[in-house]
Amino acid sequence: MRDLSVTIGKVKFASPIWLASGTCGSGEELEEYIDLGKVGAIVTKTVTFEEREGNPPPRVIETASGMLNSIGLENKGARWFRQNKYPVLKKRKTKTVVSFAATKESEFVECARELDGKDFPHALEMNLSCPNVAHGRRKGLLVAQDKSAAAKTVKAVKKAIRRPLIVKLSPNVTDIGEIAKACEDAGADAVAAVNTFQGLAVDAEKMEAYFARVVGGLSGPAIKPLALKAVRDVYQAVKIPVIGIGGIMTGSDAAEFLLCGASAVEIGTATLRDPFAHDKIFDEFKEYLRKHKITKARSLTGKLKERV
Amino acid sequence: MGATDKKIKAIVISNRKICDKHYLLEIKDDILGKKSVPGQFVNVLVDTRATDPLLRIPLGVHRIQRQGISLFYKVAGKATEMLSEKEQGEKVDALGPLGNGFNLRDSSASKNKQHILVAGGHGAAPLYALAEQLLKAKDEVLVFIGASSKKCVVLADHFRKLGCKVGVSTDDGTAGTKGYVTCLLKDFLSKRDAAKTSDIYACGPRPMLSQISRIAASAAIRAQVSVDPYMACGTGICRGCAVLTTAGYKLACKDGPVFYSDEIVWEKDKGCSS
Repeated sequence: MRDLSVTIGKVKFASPIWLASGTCGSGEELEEYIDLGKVGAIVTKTVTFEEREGNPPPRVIETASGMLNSIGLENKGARWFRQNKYPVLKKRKTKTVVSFAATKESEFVECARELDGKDFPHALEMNLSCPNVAHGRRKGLLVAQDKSAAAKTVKAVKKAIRRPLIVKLSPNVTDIGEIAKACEDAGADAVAAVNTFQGLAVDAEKMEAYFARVVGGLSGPAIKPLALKAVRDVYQAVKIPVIGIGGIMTGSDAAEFLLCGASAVEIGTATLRDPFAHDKIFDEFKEYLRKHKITKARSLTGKLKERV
Repeated sequence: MGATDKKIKAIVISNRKICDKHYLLEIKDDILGKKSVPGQFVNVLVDTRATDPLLRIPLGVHRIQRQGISLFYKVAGKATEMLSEKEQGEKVDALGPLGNGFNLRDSSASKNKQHILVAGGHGAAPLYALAEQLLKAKDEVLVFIGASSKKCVVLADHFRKLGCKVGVSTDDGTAGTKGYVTCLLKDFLSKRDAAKTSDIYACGPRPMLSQISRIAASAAIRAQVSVDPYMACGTGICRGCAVLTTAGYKLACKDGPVFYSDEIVWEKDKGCSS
């Protein structure tokens, strides 16, 4: 029997293949398509303290082997989410990681406190890096792009909650390893890399930016090589577990992220292309392990051979 | 695996060019034939191996038959171009039927009932399935089709053969009346038989739908419009295909694509000149 389990912040997850925030709702949207019981964890659509209506359309556009989005964290707020979704999510066998975001430290703390519980959720994922909302102090700057702001925020949130904290990082920085290390030192239980890359779509005929907010977030297979490099950088900088995200479409893609240092991965855009994607990737990943005679999935982590 | 029967490998029966850049694709699948209702769509992945195109293309159900459905599409990019190359016997990965169709509950057959279908260009595609359904109830069906010019007037003959009364308008006057299709509608409503009750169903570009909403409101009719914003997942997960309504953002894929026109918050649009 192959062991797929992975432990993050003292919580044992049965599989390293998770579903990324914003691409799986809070799970029930996918219930008719996949077996949620096989999913390592569902990372919910990001919740903010106050309700957000999201950005004006258009919100998505396809690009070469990828897509840009400017959804803008549409959600009904932390209290609504806890009161309405937690009862359903708690009953489910699948582990739940609740993603949350804010634009400044005090809001992050307030939101985390609202969502935290004694035994639930299984972990909290702090979205420091959504490119589609403005950071409080300086226009266009994310908390995840400011090392000291990130560290300070992580420290404050960690103090306010009981559940494990995963910090989701932005790839739109010069040195992602340095930011990851700052988060680790501030008490993060794990880091997730990466969120979307900032990108821009232009309508040449109209000579205008496609999105109202001009810049959106790029995801999908187009960013996979960039994400793998970021995961390796982060893995080399920290000792806490790394969760790899970025364009995973196949079981072999998932293995690539593990080799570069990830302990688990999150599938994102693949689910938007095909709601059945998780089950296919999960089966392919198990097949990869079988083919390479690997009994423990976690033994792959960081085993990338480098010929230097 | 979940309990759905929505992922379908349908078989191409035929895929032929109808006019200009428009194609008619007939696909065989019992479930799609049995479950689809007018106004719903399928989300088609044209190549299951390539990552470009990455996302599915939403196509309105054009015709519903026992053994499957037809899709009427315009080649407008890489994905639709690849779809146009599918040959008889090939498989098509179609997710569906998705979304909510036209509400036909109020459309009980009555001698004094007329259904007005308004199509802008390619918007004629999903209205065909609706016309077929309405004609089964022996109702009167009028179709107004608007296009930029003659070669873009699609499906007018198909609607006529079905038994609909058809009115055509073109921007350049090369077919039918010169002007917008919304003017045809406005004109018709101003002269209509007051003893008859009318339903309006529309599909086409957003400025046209906005104008129809206004015309319908002034005639005290609640129009049903099918909207077509850029869509990614088609299943309600990504929240990409947002439509601003009086109750906040709703999703074209899950709450629509058919909405009542007075639910939608329209922007300021170009009006009908007449």
